[in-house]
Amino acid sequence: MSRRYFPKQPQLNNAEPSESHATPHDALFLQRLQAGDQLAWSTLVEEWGPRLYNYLVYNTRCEEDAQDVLSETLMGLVQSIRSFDGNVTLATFIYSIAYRKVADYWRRSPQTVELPASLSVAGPSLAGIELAEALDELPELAQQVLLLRYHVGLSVAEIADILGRSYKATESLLSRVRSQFQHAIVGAEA
Amino acid sequence: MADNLNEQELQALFRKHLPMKQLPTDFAEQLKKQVLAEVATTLASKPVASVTTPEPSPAPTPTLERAPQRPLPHSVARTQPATRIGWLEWLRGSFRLTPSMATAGALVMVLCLVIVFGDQWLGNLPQPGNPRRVDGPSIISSATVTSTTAVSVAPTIAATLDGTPTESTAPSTSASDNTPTPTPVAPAQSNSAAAPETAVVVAQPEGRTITPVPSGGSVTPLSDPPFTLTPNVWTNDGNNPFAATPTAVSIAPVPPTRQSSASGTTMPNTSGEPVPTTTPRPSTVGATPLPTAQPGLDRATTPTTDVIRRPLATATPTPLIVQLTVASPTRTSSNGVPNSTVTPFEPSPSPTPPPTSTATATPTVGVTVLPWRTNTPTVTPTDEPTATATDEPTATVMATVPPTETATPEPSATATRMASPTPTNTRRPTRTATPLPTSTPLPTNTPRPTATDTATFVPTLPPTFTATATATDTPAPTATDTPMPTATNTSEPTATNTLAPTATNTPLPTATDTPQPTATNTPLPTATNTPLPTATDTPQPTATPTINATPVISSGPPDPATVDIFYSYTITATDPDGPPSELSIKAIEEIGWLSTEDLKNGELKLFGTPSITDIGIHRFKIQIFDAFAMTEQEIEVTVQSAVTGSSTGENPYSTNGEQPPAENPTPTETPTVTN
Repeated sequence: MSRRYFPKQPQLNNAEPSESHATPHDALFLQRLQAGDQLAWSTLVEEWGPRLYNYLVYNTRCEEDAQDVLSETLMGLVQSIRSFDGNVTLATFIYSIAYRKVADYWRRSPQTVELPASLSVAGPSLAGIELAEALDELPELAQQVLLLRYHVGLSVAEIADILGRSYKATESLLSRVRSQFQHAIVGAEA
Repeated sequence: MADNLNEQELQALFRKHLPMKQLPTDFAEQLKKQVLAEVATTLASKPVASVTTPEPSPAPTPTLERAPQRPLPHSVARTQPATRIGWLEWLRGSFRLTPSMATAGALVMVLCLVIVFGDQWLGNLPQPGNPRRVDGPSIISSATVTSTTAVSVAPTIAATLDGTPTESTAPSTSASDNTPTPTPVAPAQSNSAAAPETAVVVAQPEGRTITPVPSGGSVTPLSDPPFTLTPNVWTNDGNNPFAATPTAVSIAPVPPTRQSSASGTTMPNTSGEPVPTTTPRPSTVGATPLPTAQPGLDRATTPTTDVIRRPLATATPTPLIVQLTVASPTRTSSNGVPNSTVTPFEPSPSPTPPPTSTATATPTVGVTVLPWRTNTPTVTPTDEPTATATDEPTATVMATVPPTETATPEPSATATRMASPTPTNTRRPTRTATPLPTSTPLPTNTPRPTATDTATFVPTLPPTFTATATATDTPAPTATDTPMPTATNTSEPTATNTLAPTATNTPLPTATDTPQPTATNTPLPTATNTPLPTATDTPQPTATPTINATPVISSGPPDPATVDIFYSYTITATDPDGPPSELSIKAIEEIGWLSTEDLKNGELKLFGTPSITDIGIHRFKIQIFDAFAMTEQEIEVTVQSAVTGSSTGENPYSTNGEQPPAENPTPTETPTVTN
């Protein structure tokens, strides 16, 4: 798995996890974060805030709740950055916290859910509705894998770390979920 | 769109239909301030001990420093050796192992080392039970509980917290006879076993040898102790625990003792009588907080005398780990009830909570030791001591044993993962938890899109209202203004035609649209009244200045010219409605010998000298221009011979309707020209 401290485009060649050593720049950035450098944290919020927000919007189905969960995630990141030893990527670390915060959110939230704002406000196309319906038909884990892979853009190794699965198991799961998703889209089109 | 989507197509599909949303600006600013405030509170106020990033070099050394974890609440420094964590990191990095695999590998390595070098390291440490290690200074004590008496540990601890020797027990038997017990005994115990009649309850926190405590009285040696209770505790100061010197606290064959009144000291049982079963010790043991007593005491201050001191009390408030080894587990009482039972029970109601997080997470295990009745003190070691057992519980030893710590070879590493929110730690709750609801009503309902479609028409309506409002205002001035200039400017008869429709058409539609009464009243009278009188009155006076009078030639016909004599004549024209300076005269046709020159004041000068070949009549046209019109006229010039002086006799003015002037102009400059 490759270390990265900033968002990046998804790695489409998910052959093998890459080298697990951090570059000096990344290590320096992590040092600054752990030392409480305001500029580093400001950069991190600017870089990671929108991506985390999008991930949380599609998980909480509500923009206001996503903002709350995003705030909780970043607070948790601040409090736990000292214990981050760098053995995984910062993306994995951050999305793990976000994933856990989403779980906490659903535990305490009511079961009534509004329509996603993206569907009600943005004027979705037919394909967008079909995509959302196909996602909704999948199990939760499958949804998470698809979102983390194709929406957030994480690598398979990072998703494996977040979900607590091995690399091979995650790769197999992703392949299976992809097939399910295609079948679901066909069903939604029909 | 779902035919065999590959990775790129799926990514494009998600990015297209699940577009990235922008974080609201105000929320982003607020979030940044909140995070920075939290950083200033949490991180900036605390210095960073070390950075926990691994080395970027491909060959890391196993001496990497691991960042200290969150400090324990009881100021117990976690003295986890960094070398072992470095080993883990090295294993992880070198072999690309997962943390669990690296831990397992490290465990295997440690076990192999123990197997190979165990004899040298462990010596005569107890073999059946693995030593349980705890964080910080901890204790593995060894206690041998003999028969005939109850072993009470907790009162001893409670009594020795102040550092004074409080209790000593007199053995009622010799421990040297304990060799048949399967439990290995610490060397100190063997030493103490050699010393007869001693109350061997000795605390040796750190590598100290067991000091047999003389009881000071006569001891009735007992036979083989029925079983041995061996709590073993090692100190863990960051070194290899197996290399540490095991300290043994042996509660070796304990004689029946009698407790003194207030000092808490027990006197040796000199009489050899069995200890009365009404001793309050068992009851107090269970209620005594073992590990939480006196966190301020340090090992350095621990007296090394033969004071009965549990090292647990002198150590830091780490949980006590007591390894209980029952020497003769097959021993049963007379009624078949096992003598030694290990039953878990709820944590004792200790006045202070157990230290650290590990204490809260680990269950306590109560070990109830059912000693033997001492009515058979003369049992030989070879004899089976079960015959004298009773069902009377006399001693209870409580110990807290964290199972996670004992299961792994590196307990601190495991504890760290449990406490830290690293992804490896977060897996566990998320696995078992149900993070997301199963019922997710996503986009099946589509009333919102239709609502937005209708809402999009709303913004288009207000501009139409504003447009009509402006239309009502503009006609009023245009209706009043437009008839007036058209009426005044058009003085021609066509002006009457243009006025009528413009005056009637433009005000009327605006008058019907405007709701204001003033707008309707003002255009109508002006449109109907004003054009009519102006249309009838204005043509008469305005016709005069518009008629332009063409200029006319005021001079007479030119004089005849004579051959070889210079000829000159000036034609004068006048403009009836303008000054002569505005007139211009030019000749259209040129005559060979005659030249023309416009004098710019309504005069055209003809000059030249004719030759003999030019004799005859020459005609040419001239044009006279004023500001508005032009007049064209033909001029004849006659050339005659100088000898004959013949003339043409024709009218030189050939223009139609032109009459010759009444009087002939007098030739002034051309004397040769004659009429």
